[in-house]
Amino acid sequence: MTKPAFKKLCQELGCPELLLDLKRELPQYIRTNLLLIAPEKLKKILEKKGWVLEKIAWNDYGFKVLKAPCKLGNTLEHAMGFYYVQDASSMIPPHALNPSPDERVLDLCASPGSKTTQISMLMKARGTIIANDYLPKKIVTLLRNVQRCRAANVIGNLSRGEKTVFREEFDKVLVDAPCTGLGAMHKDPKIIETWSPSSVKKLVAKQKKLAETGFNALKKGGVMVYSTCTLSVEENEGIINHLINMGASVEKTMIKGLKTRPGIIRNYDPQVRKCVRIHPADNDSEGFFVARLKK
Amino acid sequence: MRFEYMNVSEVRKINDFLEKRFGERLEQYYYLKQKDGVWVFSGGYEDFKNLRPGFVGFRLGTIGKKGDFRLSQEAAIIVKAKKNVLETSEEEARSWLAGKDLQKEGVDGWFLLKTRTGFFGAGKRVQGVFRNIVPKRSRVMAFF
Repeated sequence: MTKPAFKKLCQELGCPELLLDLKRELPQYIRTNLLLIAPEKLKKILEKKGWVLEKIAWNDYGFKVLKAPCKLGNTLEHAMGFYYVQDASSMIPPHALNPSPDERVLDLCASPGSKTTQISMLMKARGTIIANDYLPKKIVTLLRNVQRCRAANVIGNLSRGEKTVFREEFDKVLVDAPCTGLGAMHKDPKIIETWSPSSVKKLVAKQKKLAETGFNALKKGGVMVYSTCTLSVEENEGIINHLINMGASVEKTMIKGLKTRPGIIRNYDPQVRKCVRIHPADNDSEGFFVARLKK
Repeated sequence: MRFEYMNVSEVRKINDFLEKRFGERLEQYYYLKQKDGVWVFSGGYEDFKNLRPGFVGFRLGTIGKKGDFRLSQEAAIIVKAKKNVLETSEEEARSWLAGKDLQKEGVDGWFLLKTRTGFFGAGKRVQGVFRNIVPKRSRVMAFF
């Protein structure tokens, strides 16, 4: 039976079929590692081995996997770092961050490293990325992916994100916050059983602290991207509203070829409408929330 | 973990080894050491203030007890070797990445290992055998 709080969320989002939408099977995606190979070359190599790939409409390096003869991570090409198994929606935050070579970037909740290695790729492995996470085993996982992808401009930093003290040091900051994960429900349908207003409330407190830390770490004029793979308004627009109160301004995220929905205003600052929501039905990828903020 | 920048002569030694063995120097990086590990970093200069680094950039290798330099398994994708590259079959590459030794007759010494499509490792041949150096946690057992 659908929880009343979830029904309310569906009504607010104008999606009565949201639960079905979130639970349906989604295709898998891979991201070419441009540090090591060109997308066309990767496509050719994998197609010779029986894969069928389709280019993602909104970026030059992602592929939807229509057919693969094995688990996507069990190939020689994966071990060689030619690609990363990463949902298309999860490629949006680094794309929205738009980092340049030679910038200084903070990735506050970095492990396992899909977005960190993508940021490094977009920076052509130049400039510095401080990839933060709080458990040694998460840093080890991060290191494995960074090594595999030749992302040599990454420093793995062991620290609790919300307690990290950085002051106006970074040109760009990514806060991909831990969340209730409604957008990834296709991977684990039990998420809906643990999702509740109290689980949301618990995470919101952490997300607020992480967002504050990220924002404080940003130089004046710098850009921060806040993202989650959930659709609860409190975990998304609620946090952005908090950052607006701290002096952030929201910039519209425009990605050509990507279907998005605007943020939910509720009683928040109208700027939250410039945030981007992605529902699974929109692009055949996980549910996501992305906001680009300027200090 | 404490990372320290390596001095010019330490860096030169490593680059001399890379040049002699693979015809290529890696001079565009900062070199750091942590215990016996050697790391290369392509970012800007860091003083590590406010940081607790678990790793810095890319682990290039280690310095052995006798002062010899040993490449890491992953060094193959960062050293753009012009010589001493050994091409193997994909089957041999899978076996290596699963943790098995590789038998290949030839002269002894360090080689970068590649298939037709790309580099997958580094290894030292001693009497026709490359002893596997793939860390256990990185081994891939269920290859397609």
